Amino acid sequence: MGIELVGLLAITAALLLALLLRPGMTRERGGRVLAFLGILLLPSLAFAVGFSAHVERSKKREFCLSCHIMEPYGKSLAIDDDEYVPASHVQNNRVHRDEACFTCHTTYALYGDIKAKIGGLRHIAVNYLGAPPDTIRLYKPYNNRECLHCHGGARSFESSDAHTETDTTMTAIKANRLSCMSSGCHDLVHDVRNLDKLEMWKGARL
Amino acid sequence: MNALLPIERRIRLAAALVLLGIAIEAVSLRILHPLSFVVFAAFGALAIGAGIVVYLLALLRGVEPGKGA
Repeated sequence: MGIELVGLLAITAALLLALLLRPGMTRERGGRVLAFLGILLLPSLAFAVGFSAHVERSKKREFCLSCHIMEPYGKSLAIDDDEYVPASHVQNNRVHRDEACFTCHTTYALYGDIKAKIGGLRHIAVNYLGAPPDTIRLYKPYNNRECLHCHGGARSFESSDAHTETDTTMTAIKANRLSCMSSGCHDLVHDVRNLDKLEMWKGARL
Repeated sequence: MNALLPIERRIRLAAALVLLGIAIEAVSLRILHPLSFVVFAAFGALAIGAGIVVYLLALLRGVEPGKGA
């Protein structure tokens, strides 16, 4: 919580407390102005700023992993094998560790568009009121766009032999017709079912 | 101690509701969990919204002819 938001909440609470204890102050013009500020203007502003802060906080990896069902996905980031795409990205700081989930799943759950946000609320409902599925699947196949945010235009990506194997390979990748996660390409991701069989990075401070 | 006018009682109720909403917001922002967002968006918004409605109704009733404010 930022200092500005703390200040805003504190000032609003102080005004409200004063109005609660001495509502008679609204007989004066100054008191009516304070009531307008304390009951209407500042709380509306505090709510908008608070909402924005909540959405911003939902990008944190800690937020995603706070649900028990997501714990294995967090653990998978410590797999000691460079072939595992999420683990190697997090361990080598290719993505911000604090926002690792959000960086690669930008349209997912609470941080996507309105449809994704409704989906995120559904996840919460299923997690607490229903029966979460044994296997968590993405709603749609993973979009190459999330990879190309960083890799698009990069020399290592553009000049890779595998990416330029045929005349159409690169076009197909960029048009999301050929998935980066295709079998034989970058198909090792979280692999949560086999975590206990995989070697973990011992010195991980993730 | 002076008796409160009806508009003052309503303003006090509005202030109490909004204060409750602000308290919910402050607590929810201390906890990093999806449920804290739900509590903020549902109960916090409800309390703040209800307080604002009570306040606006108090103002409207306060300026109606024949009603004291």
